[in-house]
Amino acid sequence: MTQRPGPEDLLETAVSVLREEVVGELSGKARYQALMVANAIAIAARQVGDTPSEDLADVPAAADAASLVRAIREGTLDGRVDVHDWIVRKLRAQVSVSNPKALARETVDDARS
Amino acid sequence: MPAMHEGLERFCSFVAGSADAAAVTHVAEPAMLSGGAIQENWGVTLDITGGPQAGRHEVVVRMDAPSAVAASHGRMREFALLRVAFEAGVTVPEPLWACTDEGVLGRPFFVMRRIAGIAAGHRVVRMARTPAEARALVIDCATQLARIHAIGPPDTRLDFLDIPKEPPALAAVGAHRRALDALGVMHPGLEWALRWAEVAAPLPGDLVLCHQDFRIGNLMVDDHRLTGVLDWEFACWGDPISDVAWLCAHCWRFGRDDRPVGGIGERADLYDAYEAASGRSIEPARVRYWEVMAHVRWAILALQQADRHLSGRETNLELALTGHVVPELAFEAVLMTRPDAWPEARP
Repeated sequence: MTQRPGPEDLLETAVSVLREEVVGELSGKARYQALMVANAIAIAARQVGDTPSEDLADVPAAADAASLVRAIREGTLDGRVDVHDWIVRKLRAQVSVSNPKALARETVDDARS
Repeated sequence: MPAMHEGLERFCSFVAGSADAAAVTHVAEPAMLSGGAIQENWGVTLDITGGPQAGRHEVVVRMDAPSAVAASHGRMREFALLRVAFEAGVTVPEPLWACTDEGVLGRPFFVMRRIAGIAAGHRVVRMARTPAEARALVIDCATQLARIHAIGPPDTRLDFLDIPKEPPALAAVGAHRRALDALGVMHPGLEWALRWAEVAAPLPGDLVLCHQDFRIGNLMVDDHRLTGVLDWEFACWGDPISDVAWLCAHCWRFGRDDRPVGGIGERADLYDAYEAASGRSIEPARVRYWEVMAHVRWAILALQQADRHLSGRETNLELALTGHVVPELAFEAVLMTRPDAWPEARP
């Protein structure tokens, strides 16, 4: 068993120290780099805590990801609700790791007006 | 030691030759103004003695970063684009001299006049502005876009730009698919959006010079006014509305989602001013189409940047993190292309 605290806890705590205590002491390029480092650690912490969703394991309407991509490109899955739904769920899972704040975009479409 | 410092004396000799001057000296050390993933910009103050340009000049030396992305033009092409834009009355830094001799600074470079302002999107959108100031900046954007879009093919000065044989939208779909294939990336979300873009492609309109990276981060802003359109390396012949959409796309608002024009202002002000300046009407559906494409294109550029890190060619945290903007870009593109947004009649 891994010695506690585990990797997610350590990484999240390190991000808090960087963002709340270190970044404020810096300026210019060093500040920018510290913010990037904090972002990288935050993403890695979410990657460590991420558990692949089982309901995404099966690709809709195709045998595997390669055939799905080919079928989309060839136009045999145009406008298919089940395919769109699967892609949205898959991307939602990825966005929740890379940048959870962007999940809010799901309810907005301001170019439609 | 950076190439700019190491080659400074050779650089001054180059300027002396180009400016027909008796002597050129530099004042103080060159300062790195910004280091992008694609290029470096150095600020240099020159004292020119003799010749038609005698006097003190604040200039910027622009050169490739040690490695550059596939879609960017060489510096000489960017210099040619800048010159065409300058002569067409676009507000750009005046292009001065270009140099292909790698013996001077180790890489090709060009020199342009330095202009006042800042070109950092996240800072510009956070500055306090009255509604009238925001509107004036949005109208500046519209005016500049209209001037750029008044340049059309053919133009012998820009003969390195391909004239697309297909409608620009379909040419872009093809180029994006080839880019994904070259990267070896299988991305169902981007493929979904690209297939939508293929079947929903608008009829071709005017073919004009498009800047292709006209967003707040590439516009020099001083005292809430636009003082220079920078970064011409992606320019191509294309659909003018693609530039309007790139400026408005959600991914280029720098966190100010509530202000659709680049995190600064309102669509109506941009559209009205652009229509008045260009004589071209804006169809919102065409803007929306190119906003979907903006997210796809930025996702592919991000994949290319991340690949430079992943391939081991260039270990770089900024490039690595750029790979993590891809999910949200694809998410936006897929949300904008829901099944009910597909055209009724499908080929």
